[in-house]
Amino acid sequence: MSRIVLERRTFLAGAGLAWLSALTPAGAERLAASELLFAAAYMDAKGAYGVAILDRDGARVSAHDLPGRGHGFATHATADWLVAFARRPGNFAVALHTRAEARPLLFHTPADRHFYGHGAFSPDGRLLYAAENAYETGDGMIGVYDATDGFARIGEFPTHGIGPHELVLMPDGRTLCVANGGIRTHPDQGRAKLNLATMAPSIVFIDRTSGELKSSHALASRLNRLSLRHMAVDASSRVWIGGQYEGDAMDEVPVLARLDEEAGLVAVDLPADVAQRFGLYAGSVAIGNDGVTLGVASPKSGVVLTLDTRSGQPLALETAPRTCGLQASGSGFISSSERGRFGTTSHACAWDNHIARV
Amino acid sequence: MRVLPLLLATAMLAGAGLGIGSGAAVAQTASVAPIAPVLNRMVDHYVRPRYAAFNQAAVDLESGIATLCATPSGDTLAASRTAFRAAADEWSRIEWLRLGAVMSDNRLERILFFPDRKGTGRKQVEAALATQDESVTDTVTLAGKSVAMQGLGALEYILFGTGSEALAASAPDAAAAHGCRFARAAADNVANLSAELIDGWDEGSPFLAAFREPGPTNPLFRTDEEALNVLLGQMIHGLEAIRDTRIGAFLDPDTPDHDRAKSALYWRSEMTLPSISAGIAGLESLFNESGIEVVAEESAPRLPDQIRFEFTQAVRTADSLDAPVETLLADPKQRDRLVYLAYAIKIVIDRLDQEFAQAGGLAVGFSFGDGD
Repeated sequence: MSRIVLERRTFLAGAGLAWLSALTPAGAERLAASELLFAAAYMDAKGAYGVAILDRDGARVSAHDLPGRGHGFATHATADWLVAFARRPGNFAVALHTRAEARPLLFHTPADRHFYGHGAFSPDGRLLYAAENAYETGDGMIGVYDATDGFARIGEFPTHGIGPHELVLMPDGRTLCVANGGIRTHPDQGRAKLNLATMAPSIVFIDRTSGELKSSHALASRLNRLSLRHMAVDASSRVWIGGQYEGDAMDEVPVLARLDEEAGLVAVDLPADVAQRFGLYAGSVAIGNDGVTLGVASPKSGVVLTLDTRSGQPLALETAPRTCGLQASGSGFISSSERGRFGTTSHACAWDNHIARV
Repeated sequence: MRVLPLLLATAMLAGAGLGIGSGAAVAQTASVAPIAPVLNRMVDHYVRPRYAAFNQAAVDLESGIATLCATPSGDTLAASRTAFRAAADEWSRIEWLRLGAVMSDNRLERILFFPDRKGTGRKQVEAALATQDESVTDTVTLAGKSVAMQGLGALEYILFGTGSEALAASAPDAAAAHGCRFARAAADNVANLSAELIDGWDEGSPFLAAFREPGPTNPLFRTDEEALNVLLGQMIHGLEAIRDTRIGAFLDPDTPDHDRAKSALYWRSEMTLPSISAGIAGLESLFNESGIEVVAEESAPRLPDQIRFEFTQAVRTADSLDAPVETLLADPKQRDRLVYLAYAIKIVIDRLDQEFAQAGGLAVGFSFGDGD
């Protein structure tokens, strides 16, 4: 039996009894046959939340309960753990061991912080960086957790902005790129957006070893209500950013932006007939395995766009109702919807906004 | 490029396969009743009448304050205060509509900036009064200032706050005269903003043309389902905001020690609970006047009456709390009713979010798909 299959089996065992009992014989077969696994958070038909592991075809291999609604993940090839984060304003995260037999670890932010649903590992997989809200001051923070010590929180540093959402580790292994969405919220105020009139979203580069701000980038001031939230890095180390517009719905504004060292942060203009299909909203972005194809999903208007990052030219625009989860798979992408579709497979659950590769 | 609605041309794809699978995607297309008639009723029977009423109240407030400034007296101050309460009431009935002109040029925040956790608005108004800053007494220059000091918040502070009695002095001092001019400019500014809201929903405006007719090239909503989502979002987000930001501003259900009467919106004018009541009633009238219930007509014919009943319960509860916030919080029985009011609002939210949304064709309810 190949090493990868053994590792996959251990992954399940390591994920605890809940996983083993959830694993059907068919699930075990799928697991053994699939070299590619995905993770996604869901809400089931009874309204309970969990995280599922799925194979390359979108068939469910196993599932694990979550104490509340999940959102995004942190994974890394060298990391021993898959970490599922609570959706804002949740304060829990669940770590599932991907190699050894270990129980899932539940950990939390401090009482005066909450997660924003996204995080990233250091290249050695030992440190976890999570986007957090210091909600009394409104400062965006990166919480630092030690994966070798039960995810003890060992520090934090500011994101120099409000409402950090997705963060990615840059190819240099040292720089974190953080999307400060710009929207201030407070857990006592529900989903009220408290600062729309003064929003100032930004993309920042931070040295993860020192917490030092390396640079901060903003779009033109007329786009100050474009909340910059999701990111993917292409093979040329350029960051592609999906935004969500909080201004007048009649405004013609881009939902996509690109950040590279030479040009800085620039809006990406799509052909008008494509741009208007997004409803001023991008819910997730992903880079294909080729490193040059970008996928962008809008669950609001139900489209998935692929474009060539080298030319900036759209490749295809597909209708995909309520679809947000998007991840590279084979020569293309796999996507998921809140109506239960994962790839071409239907499930009796609603998939949350993101898909991670395990 | 060409827009491919469902199937991808293989030749074009070359490595961009999305793995969506047309079958699965198409099979799950929701069926929503035609929404255009609902949108049109909403414009004609909710949005326009409510903005017109708010505009009238703002114009009345401005003329009331003009009279106060010209002929200061206890009576003219009382009349201005009454006119303020009427304007706050009318705004409460439409403020949760977060569509169209109110979402541009910071109009929403300029009419009412709340929550204001740091008291920015109060501090700015106090500073302008203390220095008798003349630039706040001119509507045009005031409209260019901080959003927190040019709307209802400033008006309430001047008309009801510390020192407001001086406005009634038959020979007002310079500070009172300046305060009155500031209030008049703020009222004029609010009247202008309300007129802009009316214009934004006028026949011939690009926004209204888009609002009336969802379609594939429509910038607001491309499908009936998307439009239904937006309409439900107005009601659900509005109710959530009333509970979380208006009741939650002064009530901590679990810890009475954490109650903060003076963090309540409109505590000075004693409009806190009336505004909450008007807010819920406004959203109920959006539900009723738009006839949105048509989307649940076949799948859940009795649900709309249930929702109406629960709306009414919440409004009645709010109306029964007829006292200043400080008094309500100090009386354990009344305080319990405030906690119940938050719960009564939650009941309406849950009905709309779950049962009504699903009856209307939104598979997993409303909130799940609300983005992040």
